[in-house]
Amino acid sequence: MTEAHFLSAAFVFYLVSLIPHALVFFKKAAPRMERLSRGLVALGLLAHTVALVIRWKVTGHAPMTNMYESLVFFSWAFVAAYLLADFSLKISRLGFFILVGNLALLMYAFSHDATVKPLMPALQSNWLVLHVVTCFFSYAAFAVSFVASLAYLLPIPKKYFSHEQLNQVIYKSILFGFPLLTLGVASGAVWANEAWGQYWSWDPKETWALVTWMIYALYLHLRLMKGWSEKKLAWVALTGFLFVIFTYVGVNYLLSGLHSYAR
Amino acid sequence: MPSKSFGFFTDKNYEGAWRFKPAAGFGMPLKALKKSVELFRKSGQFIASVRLTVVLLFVLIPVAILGSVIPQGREYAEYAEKFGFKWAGLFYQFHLNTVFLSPWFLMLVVLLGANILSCLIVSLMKTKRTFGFILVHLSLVLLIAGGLVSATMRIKGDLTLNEGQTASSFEHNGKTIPLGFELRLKDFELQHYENDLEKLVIAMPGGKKPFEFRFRKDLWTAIPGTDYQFQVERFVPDFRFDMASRTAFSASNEPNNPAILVHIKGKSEDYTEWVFSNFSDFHMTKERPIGLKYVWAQNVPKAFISHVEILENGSVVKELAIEVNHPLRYKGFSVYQASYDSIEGKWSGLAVVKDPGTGIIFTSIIMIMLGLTLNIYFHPSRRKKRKFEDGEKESQ
Repeated sequence: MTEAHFLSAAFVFYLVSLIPHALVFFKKAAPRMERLSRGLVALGLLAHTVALVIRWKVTGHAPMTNMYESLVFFSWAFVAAYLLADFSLKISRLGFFILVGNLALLMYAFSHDATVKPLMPALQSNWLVLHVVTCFFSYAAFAVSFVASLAYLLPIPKKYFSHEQLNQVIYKSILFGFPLLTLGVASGAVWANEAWGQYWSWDPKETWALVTWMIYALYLHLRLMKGWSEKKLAWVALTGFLFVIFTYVGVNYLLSGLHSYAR
Repeated sequence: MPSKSFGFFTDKNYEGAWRFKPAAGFGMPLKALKKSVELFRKSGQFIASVRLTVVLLFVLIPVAILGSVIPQGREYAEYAEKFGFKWAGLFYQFHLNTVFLSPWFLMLVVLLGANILSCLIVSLMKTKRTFGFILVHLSLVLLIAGGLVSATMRIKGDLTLNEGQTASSFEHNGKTIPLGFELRLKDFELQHYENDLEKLVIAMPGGKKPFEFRFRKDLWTAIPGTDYQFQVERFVPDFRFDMASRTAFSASNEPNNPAILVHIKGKSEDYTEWVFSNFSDFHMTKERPIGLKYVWAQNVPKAFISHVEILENGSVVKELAIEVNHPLRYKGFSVYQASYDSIEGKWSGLAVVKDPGTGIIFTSIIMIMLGLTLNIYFHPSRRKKRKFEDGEKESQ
């Protein structure tokens, strides 16, 4: 069986899990449904993991070197972050929206060229795995905070979500993702110094990653030091993730720089 | 409830230290002095406030975006062509062509550093802070300091060496910087992915085994055992044909429809033909029976390696290979593989760097990561809370 088979299986598991997730969303107490939805997502994640392992074996390098591979990995990290957040914060009611987002992400990945390409010399480094894994895990945590902030800001009746809980999900996801983004940017700087002799070149990708980092730093300071209202903070979290998207996708297409291979 | 009066200078315990009590009889000059002391106190209060941190972040974010949107470090003519003379003039006047090196940007960054440091000091005087908190904020100050050291003291020069050539110095800002040793390029090695080479396959009439050629543009190559020769005259990544002018052009730089124009010369034949890589079979007709097939590949090099020798007092003291991600470090200099001769593989472009800021930056990276890990993942209050919650669950 190939990577495509396992990835398709993962897609189907995620898709089917939408049914119990929708039921969990509408019906308040449904522990059996919650278990079923978690089980399906876990099975999907397992198939997704196998797909990534197969690609790693076939290509001979970590499957994170172009847009297709990074999108598939981002999707994997997003699901993993959701399961982790669900385990610690009990957010299965957000699951439906997270899974819809994740399916859209996978479909976007499938629209990209999946052929295996030779690895250019700059990417042949042990820093690749640390840099990409930390960046994408932070993006995944911020994606969870984005879904929670959307749920907070949209006029969804309060019987579905408690604002207190959503606020906690936003805060804790950002708190979890922030050190990872820091490590992602920092490892990128160390790697750039090894490859090009300059730890920071103000390349558009670096600049936008720094801007994203500053927005989440701003969120933490506005929450912890300035006592901003939950609603305003939800807007900051939402904006933060829009910057994540631009850093990840927008920069590759709209601004040229050292990360041009990421297309 | 978060503290609104974060500034050190609003705290009653410390306020007295900043208040100046004039002796009687000095009149107006003392009033002015008092005013300036008050101004100094207020600016100190402002510098040590989280409000300033927030303001600076709100300013630095659009500034950084501006620096990424406006191409940096280009020639005036390029800006004038792209944006018009008026904008080009404005870019130069406000250093928008070199945002991240401009005095006003550096001033903002220095102000941020001063703000973080004073906030940290004030915060430590007012409340007990975790080790992680201190590390994170100190690391940011160190990071800014390291960046400033690099911006002012980093030296970089380029060395282009032919095989067998030696260098003992390099140019930086018009000055010759001695290396303190000699660097000789012994050999330059360009490695390719064997299964991923661009090639032209030529099948001669008569069913013989086709020939495979790795070609170079505008170079006549003989087809072995025949009277024919060929040369590739053009490459187009995204082939389109304009019917009106009857000319070929590229719709984009993306390799959507790569094609090459092949010129064939024989005893009686002399013609050119476009060969498309998207057409997987041989291009041939009754009139032109020589089959042509173009296999496009990105031609990504696997590695480019400079085998170098370090010489001191005329004798070799070290032999090693420099490649991307594996620089040479010797006597405070780092030598990087920067460019190479992609046609003949005879010369190598090396970048020589000496940056005293790097060590400071790396120290700050270790500090920030340690601080964030301690403060966020192992924060004492969060651990206490967790223990408390666990205890509550057990008692239920």
